[in-house]
Amino acid sequence: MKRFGFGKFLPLNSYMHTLDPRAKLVSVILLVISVFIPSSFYPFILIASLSIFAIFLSGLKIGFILRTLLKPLFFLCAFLLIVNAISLKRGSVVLDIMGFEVYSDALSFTSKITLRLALMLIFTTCLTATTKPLELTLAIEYILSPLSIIKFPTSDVAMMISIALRFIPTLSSEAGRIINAQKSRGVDFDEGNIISRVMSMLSLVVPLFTIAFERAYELADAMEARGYIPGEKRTSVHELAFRKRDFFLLLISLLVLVFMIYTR
Amino acid sequence: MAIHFEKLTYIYDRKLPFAHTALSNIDLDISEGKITAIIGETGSGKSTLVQHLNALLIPTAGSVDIGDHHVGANERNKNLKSLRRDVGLVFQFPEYQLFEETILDDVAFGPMRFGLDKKESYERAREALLSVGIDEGLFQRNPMELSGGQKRRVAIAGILSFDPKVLVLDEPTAGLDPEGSRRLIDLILDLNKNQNKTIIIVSHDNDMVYSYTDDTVVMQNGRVSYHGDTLSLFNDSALVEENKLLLPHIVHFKNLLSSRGFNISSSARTIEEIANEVSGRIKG
Repeated sequence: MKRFGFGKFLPLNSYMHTLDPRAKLVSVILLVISVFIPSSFYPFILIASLSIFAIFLSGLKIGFILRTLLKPLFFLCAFLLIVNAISLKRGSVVLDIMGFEVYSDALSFTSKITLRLALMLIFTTCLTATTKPLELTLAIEYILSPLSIIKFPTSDVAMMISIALRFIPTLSSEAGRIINAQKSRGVDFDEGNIISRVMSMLSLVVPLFTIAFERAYELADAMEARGYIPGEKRTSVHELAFRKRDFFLLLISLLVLVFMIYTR
Repeated sequence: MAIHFEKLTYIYDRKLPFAHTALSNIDLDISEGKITAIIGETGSGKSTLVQHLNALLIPTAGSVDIGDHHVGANERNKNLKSLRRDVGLVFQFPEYQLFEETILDDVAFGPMRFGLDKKESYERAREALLSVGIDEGLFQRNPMELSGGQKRRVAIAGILSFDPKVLVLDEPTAGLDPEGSRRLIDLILDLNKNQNKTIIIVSHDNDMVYSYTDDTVVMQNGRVSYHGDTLSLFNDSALVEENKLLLPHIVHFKNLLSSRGFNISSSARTIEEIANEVSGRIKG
């Protein structure tokens, strides 16, 4: 049962898929930082249009992004708005609901936070949807490699990250199975008092931990059986190649960051 | 409890680009008090079908009736809990659902969730554990200390303890040693015969299906391609071929015997029954 969600790779043939993972990773980091810099609204226009361009280059559909990523964000936005409307009392009064005054700062603050989160989600999704987890690990390993001078185990860390990424879909499908099994035993995951809810969560978490440990032991054995030695120098089948277009991507992201800092 | 599927369709990820139709337009009646096998290739829709019996999936179109319970598409389906109490679902590798500190606590968990009081829940848990062949001495142990076969039986006891009228088992013998599967099958037969439970078994093991089930449902690409008597299905080589099934070893063996002049009656379904007939023939 395939299910597309946040952080999953989509096997398409877009322009973004052809780019070097190192360039994409660094660019996303630069862009995400840029998203959190501006204090006024206008710079967001630049980044937002860039994000739409990025979605287009990744071969994703805008409607699809709206449905899967931004829908959950809507609830967060509503929640923030309520909290801010109660606590933030600066700026001018824009709304007066039976004596309860909503100030302009509450509105602008909420919309900025939401916008930032949305942009961050879009950029990271463009990265993960177009980059295989394996490529991403290679990129992380490459970027961390200068640290090996101070005896930092870069290849081990990269291996750990790639294994962790690899296990997310496995564990989430296991969780689905356990939830179903416990529902069949009368567990109601969204009803009941606090004690019965804690019990419900326990009936999910305990088996999930057991499975995770069992899988981890099996994987460790399998890796050893295939000759993996921790800390040993490893070579890769996948050679990364940096091309002109990758430099171009980095350059644009860097320019955006500089622009954001400059206009702040 | 009679089970009735009516024009049931189920589509995974209905609103996403990779929507996948797992079941299409299923009409099916499963008889009360019988052992029914559901067989078919991986991905033919067996597990999806079975999950509807517990309202873990709600039909995309059509409906399913289980006794007085009704679950339909686009309806407000209430009282799912009482449905789940009447239909016990034993998942594949059910040992993974164990989580309590002691075996007894885990088995009593189900009945307590269905609203029985503590005393009665534990009483039922004891009974269920004894019925699956777990000794009193093990009741206070941690489930993780048990062997694979024992864990599986404890997990099944965890379902039996709330006394469902229908018992659904998904690949109950997968991964068990021959002795373990033998005991499990005996338990299932006993539940059917002595407690009159309706039993549905999802399986890949055609030999087990041939030897122990009354009816068989064959699934192919989300549709039912055969539903009827198990023996008439497997004894008819044309039907076996048509449903793309593997011939059970026992049937193959019977065919070999009959080609050598030993005609075994079509109702003989286990090695023991065949052996009896052969030895009776030799002596006579």
